[in-house]
Order: sequence, then C-alpha cells, then structure tokens
Amino acid sequence: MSGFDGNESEMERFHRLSDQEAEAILDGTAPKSALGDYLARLRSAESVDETTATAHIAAATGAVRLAPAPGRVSRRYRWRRRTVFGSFITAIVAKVLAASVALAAVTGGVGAVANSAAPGDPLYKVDAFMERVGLFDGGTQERLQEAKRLVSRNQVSEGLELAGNAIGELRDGYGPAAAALEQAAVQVQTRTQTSEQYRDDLTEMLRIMTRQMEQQQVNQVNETADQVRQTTREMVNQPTEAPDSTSTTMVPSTTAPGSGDGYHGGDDSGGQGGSGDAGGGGH
Amino acid sequence: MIGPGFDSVLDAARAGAEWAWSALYRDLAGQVLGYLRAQGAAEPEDRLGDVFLQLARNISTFAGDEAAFRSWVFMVAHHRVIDERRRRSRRREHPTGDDRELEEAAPPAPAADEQALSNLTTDSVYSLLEGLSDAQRDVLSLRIIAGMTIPEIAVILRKRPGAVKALQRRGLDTLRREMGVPL
Repeated sequence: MSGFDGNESEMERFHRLSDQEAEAILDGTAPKSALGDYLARLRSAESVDETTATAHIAAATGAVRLAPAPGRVSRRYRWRRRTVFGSFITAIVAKVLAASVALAAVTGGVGAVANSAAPGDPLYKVDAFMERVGLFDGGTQERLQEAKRLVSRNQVSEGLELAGNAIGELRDGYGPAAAALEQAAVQVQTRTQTSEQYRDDLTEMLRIMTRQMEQQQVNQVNETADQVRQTTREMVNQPTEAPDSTSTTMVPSTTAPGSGDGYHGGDDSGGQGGSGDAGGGGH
Repeated sequence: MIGPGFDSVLDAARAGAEWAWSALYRDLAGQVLGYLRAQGAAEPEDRLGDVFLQLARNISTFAGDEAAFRSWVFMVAHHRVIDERRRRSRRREHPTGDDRELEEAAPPAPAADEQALSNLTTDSVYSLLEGLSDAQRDVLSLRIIAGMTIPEIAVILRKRPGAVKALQRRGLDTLRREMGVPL
C-alpha cells in the first residue's frame, strides 16, 4: 500500500512516521528539519495582486446584492440580470479602473484598463472574470472590439477566433457568421505576418460587423463574416504579402448607399447574399 | 483570523457591505490561493474568484462561527478542485499520483539541503506535492495551507478522522522520501 514495499535499502533509510511524529512535524514541535522547513514554506500564504483582489471583492459584493432574497430563490438565477444595478456596477467598474491605474502606468497603456483589455493584456483576465459573472457589460460588442484590436496588432487568427466565439454564443441566426469566422481563423493560423492592407480590411469589416450587430441585422452580419472568410482565403493564397492591386478589391467600397453599415465588398461576388459556402449558409 | 468582530463582519457581508467582503477576502484569499495552487489548479486566480462568488451567492444560507466559515470556504474551494480533477481525468492528461505509480515514476530526489530548499521557487515548492496521491494532497493541503484540524478535514473530505490521519502520515512519508531527507 505505501511506497516502501519491496525495497530494502529504502526501508533502511526511512522509517514510517507514527501519528505522533506526523503531528509533531505538522504543529512545529518536532526538531528542526528540512521537511519542517518545507512545510513552513508551503504554509506561508500566497499573496493576491491588488487588481485581482479588487475585482474579486467587487464581484462578491455585487453577487450578494444581485442575489434574490432567500426563500424565493431560483437556483437557476441568471447572473446577467444587471440592469437594476447599473449604478452599483458603474461603481465597481470605477474601482477596478482605479486599481488598474498603477498597472496601466507600468505597462504604458493609458487604454489598458480592465474593461477594454484584449487577450494578452495584463488586465484581460480581470475583464474576462468580470464579464463571466456579468458585472461588465462585455458581451458580443466588446469582444468584437477586442477582436478588432487583436487583428490590427497582427494577431489575426486570434482576433477572428475571438469574434467567431463571441458571435457563436448568440445563436439566433448567427451560425453562418460564426462558422465563417472560425474558418477564417483556421485559414490564417499559420500566418505569422499579414500585410497591413489586409489587416486594415479585416478590422474595417469587424467594425462594420459590430455596427450590424448593434442593429441586429442578422443577414448582413452573416454576409460580412463571409467577406472576412473570403478575404482571409485570398490572403493565405498570396505567396507573400498581398500586393496592393488585389487588396483594393477588398476595401469596403465606401459606405453603402442607402443601407447604413452593410458591408458591400467591392469584389465580384457582389453585395447580395454572399456566397453559399459559408459553412451552413442557409441557417 | 478576524477574531471577536467576526459576527459583525459576517452580518455586514450578508447585507452586501463591501468592507466586510474585503475583510473576509483579505483574511482568506491568500490561503485559498495557496490551496488551489497546491492542488495544481490550472487557473488558480480565476478559481479563487469563483470560490468567493459562490460564497457570496450562498452567504445568506450560512450559519456558524469563524471556524465554521473557514471550513465552508475551503469546502467550496475543494469542490472547485474536484470539478477540475474530474474534467482532467476525462481528458486523461496525466495519471493520478497513486502510490505505486509514484514508486515507478519518481526516483527519490537527490538529498536537498536547507539552502536548496530555501531557493525553491513557488512553482517548485508546489511541484513536490505532485508526487502525492490526490487523497494525500487533499489532506496535507487542508492541514498545512488551510490550517484545518483533523475533524474539520474529515468533514470536508467526507472521511473518517482515522482515515485522514493515516493519509496525513503517509503523505508526509512520501514527501520525506521525495526530498530524500530522513526525519
């Protein structure tokens, strides 16, 4: 049963502890030993960094205030009900931002505050945590903003994946968009460098998609996502960096007449309906 | 320890007072984080946040003194560890640290003198615990890092106190052997 079976030399070196000896080691009354020192190291408490602590305390406080009164508790209570507590949450955001100031100063990013942090930013984990518990109005819009920022930083695959995940969680008719973005992310996975022109095109498409999301233009979102997919396919088919002549076809052809933010890419598939192979197009 | 003022802190925490949650968090978060790290949690800070969220959600149902509260905190933390362990075992990432596997897989470390011990990084401090079985690690982490007593641990782990004592003893034996340091 123990780890000492069948090894004579080991048994000679070690004798099994009695309960009394074990207790003495654990309560520190045994003679000083390396094991005792090791346990003391283990015992010394971890410290939690101030930003994380502030976020956790704020989240816990918020959770109490958001929780339904005992007695009429639905165990399936949804965290994302937060409208009534807008002002309280604003206070939480303010606190986390305040705690972020020092960190932001260190990292040099005035904009590096929790609620707008992208993956890889020091505060992203705090942001993600707060979003997960529903204390920041994160949601799809914000994650698309993060995605846009990642793409513009040349983390194209990560950005598109993030956008796909964000949209994929919505479900209501956005399946094609999620699938197209996921395909796009996979397509560019092996690309470490992409031309600035492509990145600009993709960030513009993500910007347009965000606006379309706001207006719940489901079909347009799906179309724009398909444009993203086509753009990335074209990009990876380029032997090196995309020459300017091809990239011009992908620049959004100004703001579309009449229909606000619909992304009407200037390529020859036209702006209608997108192509049919966008991963489950007729959803 | 918060001490004599604990009851009023608890009342205020139930009412959603931020100062009270701050007091509870600052009293316990370091140990909970240490416990989660010792148990090899993948995202210990996130799990720490989860623990305090769950405490906050259920604080209205808690009744008891400070010792009971601490036990509850580590019970919640332990349940998060169990959840993660289940997910991992489904993925079969690593074999669990059964004693016999340990025998085969991990030869005793070279004798570690005290200087070497004091130079251990945080990660390597916890890495010695990887050689323990899950049950041994549960007991020793709760005993050493959380400062729980044998009866408290028995309640959290749903074991008899005698079984907890035996796991504690065998866990220490394993650690000594891993360190190559006789008593």
